[in-house]
Amino acid sequence: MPSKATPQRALKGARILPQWVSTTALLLPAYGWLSLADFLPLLTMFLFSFMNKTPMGKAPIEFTLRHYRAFIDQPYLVKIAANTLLMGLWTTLTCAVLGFLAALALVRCTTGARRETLLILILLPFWTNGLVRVFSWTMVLRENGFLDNLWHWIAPTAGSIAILYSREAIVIGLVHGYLPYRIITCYIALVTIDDAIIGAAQSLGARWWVILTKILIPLAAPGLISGAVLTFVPVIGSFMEPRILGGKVGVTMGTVIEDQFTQAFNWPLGASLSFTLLAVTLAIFATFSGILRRGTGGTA
Amino acid sequence: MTRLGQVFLGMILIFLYTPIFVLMAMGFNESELYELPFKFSTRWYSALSTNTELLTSGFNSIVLAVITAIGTLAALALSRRTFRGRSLLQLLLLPPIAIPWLITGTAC
Amino acid sequence: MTTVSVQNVAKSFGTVPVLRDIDAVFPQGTFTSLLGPSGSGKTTLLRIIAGFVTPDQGGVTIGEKDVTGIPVWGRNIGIMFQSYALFPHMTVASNVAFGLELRGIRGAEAPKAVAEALDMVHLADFGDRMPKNLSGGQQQRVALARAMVIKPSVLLLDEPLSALDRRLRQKMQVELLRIQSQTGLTTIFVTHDQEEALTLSDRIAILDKGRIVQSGAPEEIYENPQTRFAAEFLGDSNFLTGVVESGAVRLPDGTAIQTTAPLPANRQKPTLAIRPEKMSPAPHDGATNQIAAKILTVIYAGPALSYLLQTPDGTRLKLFQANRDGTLMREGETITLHWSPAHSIPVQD
Repeated sequence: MPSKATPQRALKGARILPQWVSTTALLLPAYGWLSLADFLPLLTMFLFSFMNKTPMGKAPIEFTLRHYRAFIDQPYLVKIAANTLLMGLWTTLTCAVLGFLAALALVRCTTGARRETLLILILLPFWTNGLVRVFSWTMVLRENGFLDNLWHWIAPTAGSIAILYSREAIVIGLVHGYLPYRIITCYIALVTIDDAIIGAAQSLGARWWVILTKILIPLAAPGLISGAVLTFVPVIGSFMEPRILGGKVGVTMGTVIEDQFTQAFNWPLGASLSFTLLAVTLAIFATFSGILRRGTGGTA
Repeated sequence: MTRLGQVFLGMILIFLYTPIFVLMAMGFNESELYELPFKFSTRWYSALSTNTELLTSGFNSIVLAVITAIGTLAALALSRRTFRGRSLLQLLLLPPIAIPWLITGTAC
Repeated sequence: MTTVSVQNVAKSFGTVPVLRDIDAVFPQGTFTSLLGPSGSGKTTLLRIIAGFVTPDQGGVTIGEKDVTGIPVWGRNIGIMFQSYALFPHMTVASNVAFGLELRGIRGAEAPKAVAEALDMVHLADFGDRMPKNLSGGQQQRVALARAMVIKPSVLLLDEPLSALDRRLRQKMQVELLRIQSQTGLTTIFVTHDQEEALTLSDRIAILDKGRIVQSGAPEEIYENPQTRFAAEFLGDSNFLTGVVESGAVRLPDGTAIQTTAPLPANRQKPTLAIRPEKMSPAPHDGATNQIAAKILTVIYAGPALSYLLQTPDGTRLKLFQANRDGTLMREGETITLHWSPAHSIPVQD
C-alpha cells in the first residue's frame, strides 16, 4: 500500500527555522496575555482561599484550610450545588437538542445565499452584550411583559403565563446566550459529512431515524461533546442570569460566590468555592475528554 | 421535510430575536421602567446623543478585538502542532472559562 | 433479474430544464453506460432512478414494480459514488453489514454474507480495518461489496472510477465486469469517459442537453452515429458538408463523396462523418472519395500515429494510422486521402 506523505512532512523540506520556534511564536502572545490577565490573578486568589480573612487592613493573616470544608460546615451549599448542576444539565441538554436540530435543518433544508444569511442571523445575537440580553428577557418574561401581553391578546380569559423569577426563566436566558455557539459547532460538525454517505445509507435501506442515530450523531459526536462541555462549564459558574432572571430561586454556586466577594466581603470563602467548582469542572472535563478520545480513536 | 426544517429554523430565529427586538422597541418607550402599554418617545435616544462615554467604549472594544486575534494564533498552534506540554497548555485554558469572570476581575 | 425502465421523465431545477422526455429501457442483466458531458443530465437521470430526485413528470419501473413514489430506502438498489462514501466511523466489516442489519439479517448468517462479499472483492482480511486506513481502490471495492451484499435489484454507479488513477481504474474496470457478469445484475453506469463506456458497456446511451440523443450497443453507435454530437463524443470524427447531387454529396470544391447510406433529397446539405482511422493515405484509382490535404502536425504515440491535416478549402481533418513499420509522413507534405463509401455516414447537426 503506498504511504501518503502528510502535508507537514512535505513542508518540512522547505522549512528554514526549526518548528519549535514558530510554535513558540504562535503561542507566546496568547499565553503571555493569559499569565498576566488570568493565571496571575487566579494564583493570588488561590492564595486567598487559604487565608482566614480578606487581606485588608492591618490585622495579621493566618493560613487555614477551613474554607475548603464549607460544603461540610454549611450543608445548604450542597443543595445549591445540586441545583446549579441541574441548571447546567438542563441548559446543556436544551442547547444540545435545539442546536443539533437547527444545524441539521441548516445543512439539509437550506442552500447557498439563504443558508449564509441564516448563519449570520444566528450568530448576531451572540455578539450582543450579555447583561443587556438578560435584561431584555426580563421584559419578555415578566408579568405584563411582552409574552404575557401577547398571550392575553390571543387568549384574553386565560391566566398569566409570566415565568420570570423561576428556574425555567434562568434556563431560557442561558440557552439564549449559548444556543448560537452550539448551532455553529454542530453545523461545522454536520456540514463536513459528505452527502454521498447519507445517500449510501439510504440506498442500503436506512430511513431517517437510522441515518440520524447510526450516521449523523456518531459522526458529529466529537463536536457535540466538546460543545456540551464548553456550554456546561461556564453555565454552572454563571451568576448574572440566575440573579436577574431567577430572583429568589436564582441562588446558584455562581451567585453564592459572587456574594462572598461583593456582599459578605469574604474573599477567601468565595475563592475556595470557585476552586472547588473548578475541581468539579475539571473532573467532568477529564471524564468527557476520555470518552472523546475513545470516540475518535477508531473503534466502532 | 424541507419545509419542517425551515419552519424550525424560523422558530429558532424568533427565540433568538424576541428579546433583542423587545429591547429595541423599549428604547422608544417613554416609561423609564419598561412599562406597558407602549408610549412612543425618543427621549432616551436624545439622551444618548450627548453621551461622550460612548466614544471611549467604542475604542475599548477595538482593543479587545485585537486581543481576541492573539487567541487565534494559539488556537492555530494547538490544533496544527504537536509538541511537549501541549495537553498542559490546553488544560490551562479551562480555568479562565470555568472561574466566574467576576472573580478574575476582582483579583486584578 | 430485473429490467429497469424510465418513462417520459422530465426534470427542471428552478427554471433550468435538466432532463426532457427521457424514455429508456435497461434490459435485465445488461451493463448500460449513461455517457455525456457535464450538464447533460446523466447524473440527474441516475439519481431519479435511485430515488434521490423526484421527477417533475414520468415514472420509473424496477422489475415489475412502479417505484416512482417509493423513497430510496424502499427501492433495494446498490449504489457506488465517486467519493466512495464509506461510513468513516465503522470498520470495513460493519460497513458491509450495514444493509444486512437493516434487513434484519443477524446471527451467523450476517458475518458469512459479509465474508463472502469481502472475498468477492479480494479484501477478505480487511474486515477489521477502518476505511481511512485503506487506499482509494480498496475503499471503492469495499463500497462495491457493501452495495452487492444486499442483493440489490439494480446496481447504480455514479462515476465510481473517476477518482482513481489510470492503472487502478483499469484494474477496477475488469473487477466490475467480472462481478457484474457473475451476478448478472442490471447495471447503470454514469460516466463522461467515452473509453470507459466503450470498454465496459453492453449498451450506451449518449446524453446531450437533457436528452438521450442515441442509444444502442457500443459498436452500433460507433459505426453509425446518428448525430454530429454522438459522432464527436464517442470516438473522434471528421466532418464534411456539401450539397446532394445525383446520389452523392458534392463538396464546395466539386469533389463528389459517395456513401452507401440513404441520402436526403437533392439540394439538401447533409453533414458526413468519417472516422479518422477509416481514412487511408494511399491514392486510389477509381476516383471516388478522394481528397487532397496538407499535413499540419504529426503526433507519434507509440502504437498509433495521428496526423492533423488541412484541405485546400481550409477544412481540418484527422487521420489515425496503426504504426506498422515505424515510417512517418512529414509535416508540410500534401497527400491524398481515401476511404470507402460505407464509411461516410450522414449525421444530423
